[in-house]
Amino acid sequence: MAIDTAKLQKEGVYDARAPLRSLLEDLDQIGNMVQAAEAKRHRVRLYSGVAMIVGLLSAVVAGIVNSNAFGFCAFLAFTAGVGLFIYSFVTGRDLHKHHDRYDLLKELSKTLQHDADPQAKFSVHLALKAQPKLLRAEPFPQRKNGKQEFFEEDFLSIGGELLDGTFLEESVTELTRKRSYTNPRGKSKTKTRSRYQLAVRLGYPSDVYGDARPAQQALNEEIRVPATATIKDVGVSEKTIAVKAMVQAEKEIPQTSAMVCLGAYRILNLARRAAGGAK
Amino acid sequence: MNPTGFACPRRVGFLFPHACDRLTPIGCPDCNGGQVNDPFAQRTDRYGYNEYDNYSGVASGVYGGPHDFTEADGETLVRKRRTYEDDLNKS
Repeated sequence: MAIDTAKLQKEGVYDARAPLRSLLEDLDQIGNMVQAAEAKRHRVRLYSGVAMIVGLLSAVVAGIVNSNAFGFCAFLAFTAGVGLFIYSFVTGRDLHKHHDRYDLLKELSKTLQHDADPQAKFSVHLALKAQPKLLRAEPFPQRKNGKQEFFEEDFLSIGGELLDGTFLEESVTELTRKRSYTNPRGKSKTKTRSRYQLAVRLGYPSDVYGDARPAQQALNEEIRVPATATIKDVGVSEKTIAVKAMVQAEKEIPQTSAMVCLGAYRILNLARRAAGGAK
Repeated sequence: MNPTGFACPRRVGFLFPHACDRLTPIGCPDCNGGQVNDPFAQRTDRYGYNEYDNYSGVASGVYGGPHDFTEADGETLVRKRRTYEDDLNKS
């Protein structure tokens, strides 16, 4: 599937509905785009360095031969070098900052491939450009001039039907706390901390699994997650299993997601035995 | 349509068991070319869930023994996707 490169570069958003294999091909393309943007940044920085060196050399020559032309060239080259150096930080900044996000979506898609029909279409949303929403701002009285702000950003979601008829939806929200204050030496400081909320929802077919609630009670098992993640909420109803987990680092989200799905399916697989036995 | 006539009897899957739809076991990453008897139960990439398919001791009176989940269950678990020809609403 051809990706909308212009939209991706301008808005930093990738939305698609396609089979997982096709999505993975798209993600490879996005990966290539991110690498190309990264290479461009390096190239621009190299040009900037060369321009500044040329500017300095021209300035030296201008001083030796007392030439206004060389002096003007020195000014032009050095200014261009500084301009390019600044531009190197601006160009592709968003893709550079959140380049791990497409890897994350890739990992989540790969895990689902084991249990999805190759033709089944999955809807995905991936935001590579940060668009955090301010939740609240309040004073941070423990520090001088202290202030703290809380942001959230829903940057990734994937949803589709698995082979058993279950509709699986996963979403990842980045929760950020930004604290700014003046330290005892009078310097302004800003500290940012992020956590990731992973929400998994399984809408299971009752003709296959019956009601999963008795199975959850009989199993009486915690959903396991990596040591740095915590389960915040587990809800089992006659139609859905919904789990929320908090993850400390972005790189741990794929494993946490897989473990949450495994934990939910431990319940469903047991429920299916009961549903099968009752028939 | 399966031209080879091969029907894999093994259960595969990461989250739940389902029938294997491969046309040959050669090069199969799940059963390793026919070497693994039950690829679903014997997966080793489920992080902390080492005994994922083992429910022994869990309300056995209600839910039966640990080996009552068969290949046939795996097959029936897979829902046939509605194809274009099956959909009567399509012209």
